[in-house]
Amino acid sequence: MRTSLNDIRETERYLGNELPPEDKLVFEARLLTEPTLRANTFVQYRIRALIRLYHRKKMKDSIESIHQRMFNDPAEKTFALQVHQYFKPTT
Amino acid sequence: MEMPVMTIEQTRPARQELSETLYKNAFPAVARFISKMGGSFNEAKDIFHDALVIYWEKTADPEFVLPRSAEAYILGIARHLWVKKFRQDTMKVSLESWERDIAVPPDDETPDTLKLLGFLENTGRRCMDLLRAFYYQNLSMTAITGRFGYGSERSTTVQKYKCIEKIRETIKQKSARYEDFLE
Repeated sequence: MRTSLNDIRETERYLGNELPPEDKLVFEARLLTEPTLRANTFVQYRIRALIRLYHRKKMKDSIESIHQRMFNDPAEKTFALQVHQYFKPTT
Repeated sequence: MEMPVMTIEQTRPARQELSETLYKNAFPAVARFISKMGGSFNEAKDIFHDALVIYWEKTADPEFVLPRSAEAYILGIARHLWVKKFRQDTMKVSLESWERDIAVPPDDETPDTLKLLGFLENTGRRCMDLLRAFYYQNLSMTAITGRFGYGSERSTTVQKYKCIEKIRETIKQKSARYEDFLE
């Protein structure tokens, strides 16, 4: 594997807290002395946050499709009416 | 169309997963609560969907122990979210201590992040899906290799690193702030 990919793997293990203590120390020492590795580690950390957001978006999409079915499918009419009932203005 | 619900059910069959059944069982109580608080149907829907996402994320963690039934827990999250959303109204709702203690993940949807996400969705969806499977879907290496059609687990791993590299380069190009971290 290319050196750059090896660094990515090492950074993944660092961010995932999977490095044994001695390797972690070595990695942290490299972070102090290698600005590019430091910058890349920060970006890799940010990628995880981005993928988390992406994952949430995907979950929301599948929840929305369940919602659409529950409130549009005639077979679920009883359920839909029950829920809408709560929001009827009381007279 | 992708079927994430199926995948998760296949991985961990024991727990009640996000499904139409769960939707049907959990939504009425949340809707009743929101309506009592003076909220609208759409507010109930939004809060419920956010609560389901949080429930789904939490239960994806194998260490997580569900303190109540799935329905009661989702209602607890929804109550917590409602109080958080309308702090001024907290007097009207008294959260039980377990409800107060639910850790709600921060909302990190900044405009910059969303823009970047939109760009990555258009240019590198496959990589996004691969990393999603690794980080957040609890899929085994074998399952990921099978789903994405790579020849071997080793190829899948290499592909993961290549994807990180590719996304990293995109972020560097798109983000002026990257320069700050080279200091």
